[in-house]
Amino acid sequence: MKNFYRWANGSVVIFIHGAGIEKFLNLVMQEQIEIREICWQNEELVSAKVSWYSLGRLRHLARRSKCRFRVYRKSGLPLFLLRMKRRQALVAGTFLFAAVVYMASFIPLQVEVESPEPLTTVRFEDVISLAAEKGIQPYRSTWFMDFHEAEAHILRGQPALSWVGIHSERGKVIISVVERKMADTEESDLLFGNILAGKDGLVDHILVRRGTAAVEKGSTVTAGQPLVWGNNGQQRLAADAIIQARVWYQGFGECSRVETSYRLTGEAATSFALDNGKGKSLLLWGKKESPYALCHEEAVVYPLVVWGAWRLPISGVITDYAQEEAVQIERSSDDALAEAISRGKMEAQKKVPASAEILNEHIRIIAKGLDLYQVQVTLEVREDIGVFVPLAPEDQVQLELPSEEEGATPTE
Amino acid sequence: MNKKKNPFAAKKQSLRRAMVNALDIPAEVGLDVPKITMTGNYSLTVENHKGIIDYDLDRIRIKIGGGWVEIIGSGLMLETMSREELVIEGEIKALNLETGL
Repeated sequence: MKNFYRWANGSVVIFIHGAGIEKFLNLVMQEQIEIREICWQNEELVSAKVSWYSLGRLRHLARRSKCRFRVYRKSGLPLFLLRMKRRQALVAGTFLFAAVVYMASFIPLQVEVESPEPLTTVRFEDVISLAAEKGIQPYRSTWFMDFHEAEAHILRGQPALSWVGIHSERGKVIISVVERKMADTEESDLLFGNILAGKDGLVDHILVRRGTAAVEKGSTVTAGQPLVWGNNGQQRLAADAIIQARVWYQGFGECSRVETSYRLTGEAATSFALDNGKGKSLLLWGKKESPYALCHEEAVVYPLVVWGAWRLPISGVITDYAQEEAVQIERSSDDALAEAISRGKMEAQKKVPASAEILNEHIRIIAKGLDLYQVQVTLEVREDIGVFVPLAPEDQVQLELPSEEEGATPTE
Repeated sequence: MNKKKNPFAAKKQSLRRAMVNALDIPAEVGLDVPKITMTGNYSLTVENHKGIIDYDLDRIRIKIGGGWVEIIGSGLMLETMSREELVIEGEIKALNLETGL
């Protein structure tokens, strides 16, 4: 800290010569001027370090002690700033260079595709060309690239991919892809099994490709009930069918006519602290705790990267405090009912699978008081409910059809 | 002309010392004596000094209350110099003390 203070004040190395060097040093000491590193350079010359600001006062003392001194070297912040003031073009050039390097770091030189496992059905070139359609190209700033949109576009263009992630790293854009695991058709054909109902419902449509239907259109089924048997007479096989059923999902919603909610006022405060990850932190600016009674607090931890993978053992923590205020919302009876229905629908829709088709909705008002409204929303959907369940390994034995000569004897 | 020694100086000093002991005051404050701290043979700190008498590469003489301290060595450097303390660095070979009391 002392060294930093000296650097901030600026230091000067002076060479002193003359008859009364001791007197000069004593006078400097009496004037409470900080002088240090006093050392004989040769038989006549003594060097010493003093602060930049006390240089003017030394001239008077040197005259009194019949000594002379000359400045040998200057260092420290004020002198650096003075030098920079004289070399404005150098400063401007440095900043310009830093700005160009910073801007250049956003321009990727290449686009790469990586996958944790070798791709079988998708080619890297196809992924790159799909990305290029959405502007993911070399020599184009990442500021103008929408990674999320490009990810969605690649997924739409390549259904064989189950996940796509794009990120920029060290001058290149990396597209990470994961191929969908396709069930081995031949292997599944060898497995014998039945199709069971995945959930309760009313069978609406049934199309059997392999196996024997255990239910028919209009049957009410419960979860776990066999829908298609995996056999055809005596021959065991893997049941295959499309079974669509009507399934009902319920959601509950309630809303009061007078409710308290919280909204942001626009007032915000930020603090920055260094954290060592072991519970100790040093607050550099801002306040340690929220200055607001009601607030939304969000802390983001940034690892302090020096260069590449070289990171400091501490991390920076930026905490944002956004002030909130409590607001009372008063609704009319109709608005409160509509809000309760909307909440009920939202809860029910969360349970509905993405592939299901909503056919009907039914709303039942449970409570309709002066203040509180409660509703139950029932959604009727059509969806596939069949689940293929293979037989246990010990049952995976083909039963051959009995021949007329041998009779119906199962063989392994 | 030689300065005459005060015949009561020794008694005055012993009285002061007794008072300092009784009042539990640090000696360097109460008796105006230096406090000399030496680290190995390369660093020496003199607190409560009165200034420099002589300074050479191999000898430094420092004025203290009622006398002087002489440090003999080689490559001696005054690392820090202030009214409160004086830090000397270098190879210290000998230390002479002249109190005159």
